[in-house]
Amino acid sequence: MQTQAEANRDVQLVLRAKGGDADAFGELVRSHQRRAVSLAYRLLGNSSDAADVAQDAFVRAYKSLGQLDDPARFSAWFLRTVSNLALNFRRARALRATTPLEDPAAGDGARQATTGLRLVTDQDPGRSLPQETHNAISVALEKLPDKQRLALILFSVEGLPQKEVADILECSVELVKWNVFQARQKLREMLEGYLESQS
Amino acid sequence: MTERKYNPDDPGFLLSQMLDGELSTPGTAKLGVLLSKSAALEIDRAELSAVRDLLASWGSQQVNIDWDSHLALINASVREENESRPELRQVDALLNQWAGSAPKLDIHASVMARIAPKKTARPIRWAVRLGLPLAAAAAIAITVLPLRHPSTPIEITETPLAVVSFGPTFTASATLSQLTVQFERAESIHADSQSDVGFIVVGSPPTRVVEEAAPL
Repeated sequence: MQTQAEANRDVQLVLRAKGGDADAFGELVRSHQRRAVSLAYRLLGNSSDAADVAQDAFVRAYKSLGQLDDPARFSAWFLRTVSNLALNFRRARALRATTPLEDPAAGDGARQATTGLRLVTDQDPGRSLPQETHNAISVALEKLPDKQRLALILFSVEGLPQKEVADILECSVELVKWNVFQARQKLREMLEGYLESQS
Repeated sequence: MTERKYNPDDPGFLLSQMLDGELSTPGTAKLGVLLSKSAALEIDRAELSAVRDLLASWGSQQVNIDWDSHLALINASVREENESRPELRQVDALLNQWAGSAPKLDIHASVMARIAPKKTARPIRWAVRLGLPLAAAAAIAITVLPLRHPSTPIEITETPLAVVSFGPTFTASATLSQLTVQFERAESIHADSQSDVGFIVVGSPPTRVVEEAAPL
């Protein structure tokens, strides 16, 4: 969650970037790239695609900074761009082929060679899940309606405040809560066999 | 999986909010009463809590990339975008100059002048529409001519295309049509003299306009 100092800094950087200061935009990228890649990764299940989408989102944001009336809303505005691009990417990918959700730890040698990105996953050992369970959750999330998946990931996984989630999704806080609840209900039905291990 | 209709009092919805610490005090009290009365609701609470914990464990798997390379790639794209901007700014400046050079016209007077004749008597409007030049002095006879290129010599034909008579009816041997124009008022009438065909104007200045349609 962004502190007030970080938010104020963002405002200054956005104003400079709107004036054509590429270095200022570079600072914005540095501040927001982890959140962008993480969100795209949650939505796409693939780290290479997540990096691509995040890069696209940043370039688009730079080109359309002029449309951002309130610099204080940069974070929500940008994450909305990331979400939309990720969902579009996902739909296009589904049309091309059925892409099984990959184990990010397996890596992507060819993509690393072309992009120069080193793909590594970190996991808190105290919260490790069996791979089967991890994949089952990923598959279940894929089956949720877009709005519910987004609300759940932004709030429950990324830990964003409900107000910020509402800004990103351009809906009310109450609707965010309802979407989170509906998403959990559906996951509960789809992951019934995995819930006993948590109790 | 069917979609539920929004219900703020749905016990499951209250449970979900309670798990997130988002339930109001009255809501918490209400849910407490429901939980105490329903074993099924208690199971719902346990399972929703398990879902929340599963998701948290799933989310603990972070993706890490080479952030410096990622940043460099984005900066390169942004620089490329920025380098094209000076040209766009030049185009904007040129457009602004072009837009600023438009003359400021007050067309109100000219518009009013053009529509003013429409308010005059209909017979006069009819005459103006035909483009009749009106000789203020004595009658003038003009040969009716077909449309000619300016450089082509004007030929005077024996058979006029039309005759416009100011005054007594004029009889021509082989005219295609005949118009008799008599004006009520002995005043000058200004008309557009540019017309595709010429007219024969015969007679004294008209005093009354009468429209006569002659068969072709």
